Amino acid sequence: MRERRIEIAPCAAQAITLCLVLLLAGLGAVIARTFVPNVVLPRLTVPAFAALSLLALALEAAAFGEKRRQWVASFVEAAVAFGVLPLCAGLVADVSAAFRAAALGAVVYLVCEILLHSILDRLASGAVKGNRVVPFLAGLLLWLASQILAGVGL
Amino acid sequence: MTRRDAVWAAGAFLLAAAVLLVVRLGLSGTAEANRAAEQQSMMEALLPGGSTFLPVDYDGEDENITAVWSGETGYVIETVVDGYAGPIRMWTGVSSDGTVTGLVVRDMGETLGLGREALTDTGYLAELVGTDGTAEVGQDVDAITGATVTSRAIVRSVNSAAAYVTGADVSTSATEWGG
Repeated sequence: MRERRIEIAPCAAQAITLCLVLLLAGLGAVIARTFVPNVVLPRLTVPAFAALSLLALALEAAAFGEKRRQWVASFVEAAVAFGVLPLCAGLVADVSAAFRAAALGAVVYLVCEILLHSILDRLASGAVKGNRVVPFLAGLLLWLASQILAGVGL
Repeated sequence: MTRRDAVWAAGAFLLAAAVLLVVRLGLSGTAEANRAAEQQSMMEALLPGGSTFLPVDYDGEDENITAVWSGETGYVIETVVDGYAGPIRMWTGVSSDGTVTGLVVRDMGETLGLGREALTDTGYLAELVGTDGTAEVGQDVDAITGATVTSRAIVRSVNSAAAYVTGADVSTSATEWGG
Protein backbone atom coordinates (compact mmCIF):
# COMPACT_ATOMS: atom_id res chain seq x y z
CA MET A 1 0.00 0.00 0.00
CA ARG A 2 1.42 3.35 -1.01
CA GLU A 3 2.19 5.69 1.86
CA ARG A 4 0.19 8.92 1.86
CA ARG A 5 1.77 12.23 2.86
CA ILE A 6 0.26 15.68 2.86
CA GLU A 7 1.73 17.79 0.05
CA ILE A 8 2.70 21.22 1.31
CA ALA A 9 5.72 23.49 0.98
CA PRO A 10 8.44 23.03 3.65
CA CYS A 11 8.12 26.52 5.12
CA ALA A 12 4.36 26.18 5.53
CA ALA A 13 4.76 22.72 7.06
CA GLN A 14 7.31 24.11 9.51
CA ALA A 15 5.04 26.96 10.51
CA ILE A 16 2.05 24.69 11.05
CA THR A 17 3.87 22.10 13.15
CA LEU A 18 5.80 24.65 15.21
CA CYS A 19 2.65 26.68 15.90
CA LEU A 20 0.76 23.52 16.81
CA VAL A 21 3.41 22.42 19.30
CA LEU A 22 3.77 25.89 20.83
CA LEU A 23 -0.01 26.26 21.00
CA LEU A 24 -0.41 22.98 22.91
CA ALA A 25 2.52 23.80 25.21
CA GLY A 26 1.16 27.29 25.85
CA LEU A 27 -2.35 26.01 26.55
CA GLY A 28 -0.91 23.42 28.93
CA ALA A 29 1.04 26.12 30.78
CA VAL A 30 -1.95 28.48 31.01
CA ILE A 31 -4.25 25.72 32.29
CA ALA A 32 -1.64 24.46 34.77
CA ARG A 33 -1.03 27.95 36.14
CA THR A 34 -4.75 28.51 36.49
CA PHE A 35 -5.84 25.29 38.14
CA VAL A 36 -2.59 24.08 39.74
CA PRO A 37 -0.92 27.36 40.72
CA ASN A 38 1.80 25.69 42.78
CA VAL A 39 3.07 23.68 39.82
CA VAL A 40 6.73 24.29 38.92
CA LEU A 41 6.83 24.67 35.15
CA PRO A 42 10.05 24.18 33.17
CA ARG A 43 11.89 27.44 32.55
CA LEU A 44 12.51 28.77 29.05
CA THR A 45 16.04 27.42 28.82
CA VAL A 46 17.85 25.73 25.95
CA PRO A 47 16.47 22.24 26.79
CA ALA A 48 12.91 23.63 26.82
CA PHE A 49 13.38 25.36 23.47
CA ALA A 50 15.08 22.21 22.15
CA ALA A 51 12.22 19.99 23.32
CA LEU A 52 9.63 22.15 21.57
CA SER A 53 11.75 22.52 18.43
CA LEU A 54 12.59 18.84 18.14
CA LEU A 55 8.99 17.79 18.73
CA ALA A 56 7.83 20.14 15.99
CA LEU A 57 10.56 18.99 13.61
CA ALA A 58 9.86 15.32 14.29
CA LEU A 59 6.13 15.86 13.77
CA GLU A 60 6.86 17.66 10.54
CA ALA A 61 9.12 14.88 9.28
CA ALA A 62 6.57 12.21 10.22
CA ALA A 63 3.57 14.03 8.77
CA PHE A 64 4.99 15.72 5.71
CA GLY A 65 8.07 13.63 4.96
CA GLU A 66 11.61 14.73 4.22
CA LYS A 67 11.82 17.97 2.26
CA ARG A 68 14.54 20.30 1.08
CA ARG A 69 15.31 22.68 3.92
CA GLN A 70 15.08 26.45 3.75
CA TRP A 71 17.31 27.64 6.56
CA VAL A 72 16.52 31.36 6.39
CA ALA A 73 12.78 30.75 6.36
CA SER A 74 13.20 28.34 9.28
CA PHE A 75 15.06 30.93 11.32
CA VAL A 76 12.51 33.68 10.64
CA GLU A 77 9.51 31.45 11.34
CA ALA A 78 11.02 30.16 14.56
CA ALA A 79 11.87 33.69 15.69
CA VAL A 80 8.29 34.84 15.12
CA ALA A 81 6.79 31.75 16.75
CA PHE A 82 9.05 31.77 19.83
CA GLY A 83 8.73 35.52 20.20
CA VAL A 84 4.99 35.94 19.82
CA LEU A 85 3.34 32.76 21.11
CA PRO A 86 5.01 32.61 24.58
CA LEU A 87 4.10 36.29 25.00
CA CYS A 88 0.46 35.51 24.19
CA ALA A 89 0.53 32.64 26.71
CA GLY A 90 2.06 34.85 29.41
CA LEU A 91 5.21 32.72 29.61
CA VAL A 92 7.49 35.73 29.14
CA ALA A 93 7.13 38.84 31.23
CA ASP A 94 7.44 41.63 28.68
CA VAL A 95 8.38 42.56 25.14
CA SER A 96 12.13 42.63 25.80
CA ALA A 97 11.92 39.08 27.19
CA ALA A 98 9.92 38.13 24.09
CA PHE A 99 12.75 39.42 21.88
CA ARG A 100 15.24 37.33 23.85
CA ALA A 101 12.96 34.30 23.54
CA ALA A 102 12.69 34.92 19.80
CA ALA A 103 16.46 35.10 19.35
CA LEU A 104 17.29 32.10 21.53
CA GLY A 105 14.38 30.04 20.21
CA ALA A 106 15.30 30.70 16.59
CA VAL A 107 18.93 29.75 17.13
CA VAL A 108 18.01 26.57 19.02
CA TYR A 109 15.40 25.66 16.39
CA LEU A 110 17.87 26.13 13.55
CA VAL A 111 20.59 24.09 15.28
CA CYS A 112 18.08 21.34 16.09
CA GLU A 113 16.85 21.36 12.50
CA ILE A 114 20.36 21.02 11.10
CA LEU A 115 21.30 18.23 13.50
CA LEU A 116 18.02 16.29 13.23
CA HIS A 117 17.96 16.39 9.44
CA SER A 118 21.61 15.43 9.27
CA ILE A 119 20.72 12.31 11.23
CA LEU A 120 17.62 11.63 9.15
CA ASP A 121 19.57 12.11 5.91
CA ARG A 122 22.11 9.55 7.05
CA LEU A 123 19.36 7.11 8.00
CA ALA A 124 17.41 7.66 4.78
CA SER A 125 19.48 5.13 2.85
CA GLY A 126 18.96 2.40 5.43
CA ALA A 127 16.20 -0.01 6.33
CA VAL A 128 14.39 2.53 8.52
CA LYS A 129 13.63 4.88 5.63
CA GLY A 130 10.06 6.13 5.89
CA ASN A 131 9.60 4.88 9.45
CA ARG A 132 7.64 7.55 11.30
CA VAL A 133 9.09 6.67 14.69
CA VAL A 134 12.68 7.42 13.67
CA PRO A 135 12.40 11.24 13.77
CA PHE A 136 11.03 11.07 17.31
CA LEU A 137 13.80 8.74 18.51
CA ALA A 138 16.48 10.91 16.91
CA GLY A 139 14.85 13.98 18.45
CA LEU A 140 14.82 12.34 21.87
CA LEU A 141 18.56 11.67 21.67
CA LEU A 142 19.25 15.27 20.66
CA TRP A 143 17.08 16.57 23.49
CA LEU A 144 18.98 14.49 26.01
CA ALA A 145 22.19 15.99 24.67
CA SER A 146 20.74 19.49 25.08
CA GLN A 147 20.53 18.97 28.85
CA ILE A 148 24.15 20.03 29.06
CA LEU A 149 22.91 23.60 28.43
CA ALA A 150 20.25 23.45 31.15
CA GLY A 151 21.49 26.63 32.81
CA VAL A 152 21.30 28.75 29.63
CA GLY A 153 18.06 30.57 29.07
CA LEU A 154 15.97 33.65 29.70
CA MET B 1 7.52 30.58 -0.83
CA THR B 2 4.33 30.82 -2.82
CA ARG B 3 1.40 32.98 -1.83
CA ARG B 4 -0.56 29.94 -0.73
CA ASP B 5 2.30 28.83 1.54
CA ALA B 6 2.56 32.30 3.06
CA VAL B 7 -1.14 32.23 3.83
CA TRP B 8 -0.78 28.82 5.50
CA ALA B 9 2.13 30.04 7.63
CA ALA B 10 0.54 33.35 8.60
CA GLY B 11 -2.77 31.65 9.33
CA ALA B 12 -1.08 29.16 11.65
CA PHE B 13 0.66 31.96 13.60
CA LEU B 14 -2.43 34.11 13.88
CA LEU B 15 -4.71 31.25 14.89
CA ALA B 16 -2.31 30.00 17.57
CA ALA B 17 -1.75 33.51 18.94
CA ALA B 18 -5.48 34.25 19.03
CA VAL B 19 -6.34 30.99 20.82
CA LEU B 20 -3.63 31.54 23.44
CA LEU B 21 -4.68 35.13 24.08
CA VAL B 22 -8.37 34.30 24.38
CA VAL B 23 -7.78 31.35 26.73
CA ARG B 24 -5.33 33.28 28.91
CA LEU B 25 -7.51 36.35 29.23
CA GLY B 26 -10.60 34.23 29.77
CA LEU B 27 -8.97 32.35 32.65
CA SER B 28 -7.13 35.31 34.20
CA GLY B 29 -9.76 35.94 36.90
CA THR B 30 -9.88 32.30 37.94
CA ALA B 31 -6.08 32.11 37.86
CA GLU B 32 -5.69 35.10 40.17
CA ALA B 33 -8.27 33.78 42.66
CA ASN B 34 -6.69 30.32 42.68
CA ARG B 35 -3.21 31.79 43.10
CA ALA B 36 -4.28 33.84 46.13
CA ALA B 37 -6.02 30.85 47.71
CA GLU B 38 -3.03 28.61 47.07
CA GLN B 39 -0.66 31.19 48.57
CA GLN B 40 -2.74 31.41 51.76
CA SER B 41 -3.05 27.63 52.15
CA MET B 42 0.67 27.16 51.44
CA MET B 43 1.64 29.71 54.07
CA GLU B 44 -0.68 28.11 56.62
CA ALA B 45 1.00 24.77 55.92
CA LEU B 46 4.49 26.25 56.27
CA LEU B 47 3.72 28.17 59.46
CA PRO B 48 0.97 26.44 61.46
CA GLY B 49 -1.14 28.93 63.39
CA GLY B 50 0.10 31.79 61.27
CA SER B 51 -3.48 32.77 60.44
CA THR B 52 -3.33 36.02 58.51
CA PHE B 53 -0.14 36.78 56.62
CA LEU B 54 0.87 40.35 55.86
CA PRO B 55 3.77 41.45 53.66
CA VAL B 56 6.69 43.06 55.50
CA ASP B 57 9.23 45.43 53.93
CA TYR B 58 12.67 43.84 54.07
CA ASP B 59 15.58 46.25 54.49
CA GLY B 60 18.26 43.82 55.66
CA GLU B 61 21.54 43.04 53.93
CA ASP B 62 20.95 39.41 52.99
CA GLU B 63 20.60 39.40 49.22
CA ASN B 64 19.00 35.94 49.34
CA ILE B 65 15.83 37.26 50.94
CA THR B 66 13.36 38.67 48.43
CA ALA B 67 10.08 38.86 50.38
CA VAL B 68 8.78 38.45 53.92
CA TRP B 69 5.29 37.86 55.28
CA SER B 70 4.51 38.01 58.97
CA GLY B 71 1.97 35.74 60.67
CA GLU B 72 0.81 35.48 64.25
CA THR B 73 3.32 32.77 65.14
CA GLY B 74 6.27 33.76 62.96
CA TYR B 75 7.24 34.54 59.40
CA VAL B 76 7.19 33.08 55.92
CA ILE B 77 10.31 34.16 54.04
CA GLU B 78 10.93 33.97 50.33
CA THR B 79 14.53 33.41 49.28
CA VAL B 80 16.21 33.12 45.91
CA VAL B 81 19.62 31.45 45.68
CA ASP B 82 21.61 30.15 42.73
CA GLY B 83 21.42 26.41 42.20
CA TYR B 84 23.18 24.27 39.61
CA ALA B 85 21.03 25.46 36.69
CA GLY B 86 19.74 28.86 37.72
CA PRO B 87 18.02 30.44 40.68
CA ILE B 88 15.96 28.41 43.16
CA ARG B 89 13.02 30.25 44.74
CA MET B 90 11.83 28.92 48.09
CA TRP B 91 9.42 29.76 50.87
CA THR B 92 10.45 28.91 54.40
CA GLY B 93 8.25 29.12 57.49
CA VAL B 94 10.14 30.22 60.60
CA SER B 95 8.48 30.47 64.02
CA SER B 96 9.06 33.47 66.26
CA ASP B 97 11.81 31.61 68.16
CA GLY B 98 13.80 31.04 64.96
CA THR B 99 12.90 27.40 64.35
CA VAL B 100 12.18 26.31 60.79
CA THR B 101 8.60 25.00 60.62
CA GLY B 102 8.32 24.19 56.94
CA LEU B 103 9.79 24.82 53.51
CA VAL B 104 8.81 24.43 49.92
CA VAL B 105 10.53 24.95 46.60
CA ARG B 106 8.37 27.35 44.56
CA ASP B 107 10.45 27.54 41.39
CA MET B 108 13.61 25.98 40.05
CA GLY B 109 15.26 24.90 36.82
CA GLU B 110 17.45 22.12 38.12
CA THR B 111 18.36 19.03 36.10
CA LEU B 112 15.69 16.40 35.61
CA GLY B 113 16.35 13.31 37.69
CA LEU B 114 19.02 15.04 39.81
CA GLY B 115 18.59 18.48 41.38
CA ARG B 116 14.92 18.55 40.45
CA GLU B 117 14.42 15.67 42.89
CA ALA B 118 14.58 18.31 45.61
CA LEU B 119 11.08 19.34 44.62
CA THR B 120 9.60 16.05 45.73
CA ASP B 121 12.18 14.58 48.09
CA THR B 122 10.17 15.15 51.26
CA GLY B 123 12.64 13.12 53.29
CA TYR B 124 15.43 15.52 52.43
CA LEU B 125 13.34 18.66 52.91
CA ALA B 126 11.98 17.34 56.23
CA GLU B 127 15.54 17.12 57.58
CA LEU B 128 15.63 20.92 57.56
CA VAL B 129 12.46 21.33 59.59
CA GLY B 130 13.37 22.07 63.20
CA THR B 131 16.76 23.56 62.37
CA ASP B 132 17.64 27.06 63.57
CA GLY B 133 19.71 28.59 60.78
CA THR B 134 22.97 26.79 61.45
CA ALA B 135 22.42 23.62 59.40
CA GLU B 136 25.26 22.34 57.23
CA VAL B 137 25.23 19.78 54.44
CA GLY B 138 27.09 16.66 55.50
CA GLN B 139 26.72 17.37 59.19
CA ASP B 140 23.12 18.23 60.04
CA VAL B 141 21.51 17.19 56.78
CA ASP B 142 22.47 14.83 53.96
CA ALA B 143 22.94 15.92 50.35
CA ILE B 144 20.63 14.68 47.63
CA THR B 145 22.50 12.03 45.69
CA GLY B 146 24.02 13.54 42.55
CA ALA B 147 22.85 17.04 43.45
CA THR B 148 25.27 18.45 46.00
CA VAL B 149 25.11 21.99 44.60
CA THR B 150 21.31 22.01 44.77
CA SER B 151 21.38 20.59 48.30
CA ARG B 152 23.76 23.28 49.49
CA ALA B 153 21.71 26.00 47.83
CA ILE B 154 18.58 24.83 49.63
CA VAL B 155 20.34 24.71 52.99
CA ARG B 156 21.75 28.22 52.47
CA SER B 157 18.27 29.39 51.60
CA VAL B 158 16.77 27.93 54.77
CA ASN B 159 19.61 29.31 56.92
CA SER B 160 19.06 32.79 55.47
CA ALA B 161 15.37 32.60 56.30
CA ALA B 162 16.00 31.48 59.89
CA ALA B 163 18.69 34.12 60.34
CA TYR B 164 16.14 36.80 59.48
CA VAL B 165 14.19 35.86 62.59
CA THR B 166 17.08 35.06 64.94
CA GLY B 167 18.78 38.35 64.15
CA ALA B 168 21.85 36.85 62.54
CA ASP B 169 20.73 38.59 59.36
CA VAL B 170 23.90 39.38 57.45
CA SER B 171 24.94 39.16 53.83
CA THR B 172 25.94 35.56 53.31
CA SER B 173 27.16 35.79 49.73
CA ALA B 174 25.31 32.55 49.51
CA THR B 175 24.89 32.58 45.80
CA GLU B 176 28.24 31.07 44.94
CA TRP B 177 28.37 27.53 43.73
CA GLY B 178 28.99 24.93 46.34
CA GLY B 179 30.17 27.40 48.95
